[in-house]
Amino acid sequence: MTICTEAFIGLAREESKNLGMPDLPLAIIKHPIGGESLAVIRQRAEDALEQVIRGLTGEVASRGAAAAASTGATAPESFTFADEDEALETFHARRLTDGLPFVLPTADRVRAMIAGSGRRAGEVIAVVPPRWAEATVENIAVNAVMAGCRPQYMPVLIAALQAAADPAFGLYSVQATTHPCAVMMLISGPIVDELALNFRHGSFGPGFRANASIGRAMRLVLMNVGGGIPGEGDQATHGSPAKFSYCVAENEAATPWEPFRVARGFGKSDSTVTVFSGEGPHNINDHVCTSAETTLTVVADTMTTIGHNNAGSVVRGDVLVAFGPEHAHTVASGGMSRADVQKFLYERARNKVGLLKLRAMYKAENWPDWVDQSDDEARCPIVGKPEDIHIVVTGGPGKHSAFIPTFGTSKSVTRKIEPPR
Amino acid sequence: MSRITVVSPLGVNRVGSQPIAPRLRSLDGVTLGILNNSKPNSLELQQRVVELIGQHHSVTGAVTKQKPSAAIGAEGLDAYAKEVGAVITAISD
Repeated sequence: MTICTEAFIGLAREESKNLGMPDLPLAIIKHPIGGESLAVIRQRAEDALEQVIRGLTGEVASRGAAAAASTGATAPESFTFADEDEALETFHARRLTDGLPFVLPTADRVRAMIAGSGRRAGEVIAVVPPRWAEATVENIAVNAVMAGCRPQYMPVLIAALQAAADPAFGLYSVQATTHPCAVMMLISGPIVDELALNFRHGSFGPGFRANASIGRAMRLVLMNVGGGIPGEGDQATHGSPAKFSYCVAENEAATPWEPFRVARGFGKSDSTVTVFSGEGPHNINDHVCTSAETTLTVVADTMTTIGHNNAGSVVRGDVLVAFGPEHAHTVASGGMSRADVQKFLYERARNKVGLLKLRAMYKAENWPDWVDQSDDEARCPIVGKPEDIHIVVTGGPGKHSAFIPTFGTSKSVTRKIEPPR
Repeated sequence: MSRITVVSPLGVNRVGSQPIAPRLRSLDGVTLGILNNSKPNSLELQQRVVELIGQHHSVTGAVTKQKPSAAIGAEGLDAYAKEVGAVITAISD
């Protein structure tokens, strides 16, 4: 028996249906629960009471398989329209796109996209929550066509979906949460040049087909296959512009340390994609520091806020610091290795326990054991260990870096990008 | 003007129909379960619901199982199911 507020009815109904239990009883009460007084909570409990008793003891209608089938098992393989305009308008009306114009996925275009993968059309790459629908090579290809991808981008998308489906990433929660996280893809290796991915000026921004369309294709798969539709399977309060497209490449030539993929245990000749449950990038502006310590102090201060999820989740998440080349050069010139930088930031980017307790969602059980919860002056890190602060260099000239907090209860996952078979 | 056919971008859910646990005849003599997701105020809500049920039925108590985070699946549910006659969960913020 599940109690649910009015704001979450859509997700609760969708989820029970998608898991094959469309008739699961719900007790529906007013929203919200968090941030309310005990008197309000007691009233909510009274409002739920009769529904809970009825749900535990009453008859449950059984629409069974027929209702389960409505989750998409009967989804049409194709649509026919009078003309392109009707097709485009219908896709918009049925919420089959992200709100922007798109390329119509005709059979010829989809076939060409599938060929770019070197795989069978029907191969299942991932099961995508919260709709728990299969993402086949063909499904991915359709959405890649819509996003404006070229066929040679398919191996990146396939590896990224496999990474996002890893249980450590927690895609269900990343998709359904009220938090504004997106699935950020970080690409490292020779494929960056091969696909002309941008890693210089504006590396988080628009203007480059490979970055823009790969990131958009991931979002379309998450929406069309996974059901991450705002207000339905995606309960984000605000969402984020990062949810349109979020594909970033490493500036390896400007990296004073080993490449990102090597730091993650892959070979230098490999190409990899790493998925992060990232918020949009938060700027780190420092035009004056000339030493590693002062530059990293500015970085650490930017990471040290109590509003992002990592401040509360700590041991369950990781974060990304994206150094601009100039900041990276300043830091490395001081002789600091990647591990040194991680250790420095781990020790400096900490919040006071007393401040964290102001947060309704601070969770001491998610803090390292050694943090003294009784001491308001004790300082709690934002991740469980230095290695959970990931470091990459991206972008062009300028005195800026970026901090990317994550969903918190999610770990980044790296996959090798396999060439077409 | 020629018609145009496009391929569906939707995926297919193959979960299939799952049985729902049979409902109870009565809550009298039942040990209730509170499966809590650690969201603020959620435990207070569930505990109050169980308390109110206790005013109408002679339940034999409640066993609380708390997840460390709403984003993490509960472990040990099979064993938990043997401890209790029914479970009350909650989602939302």
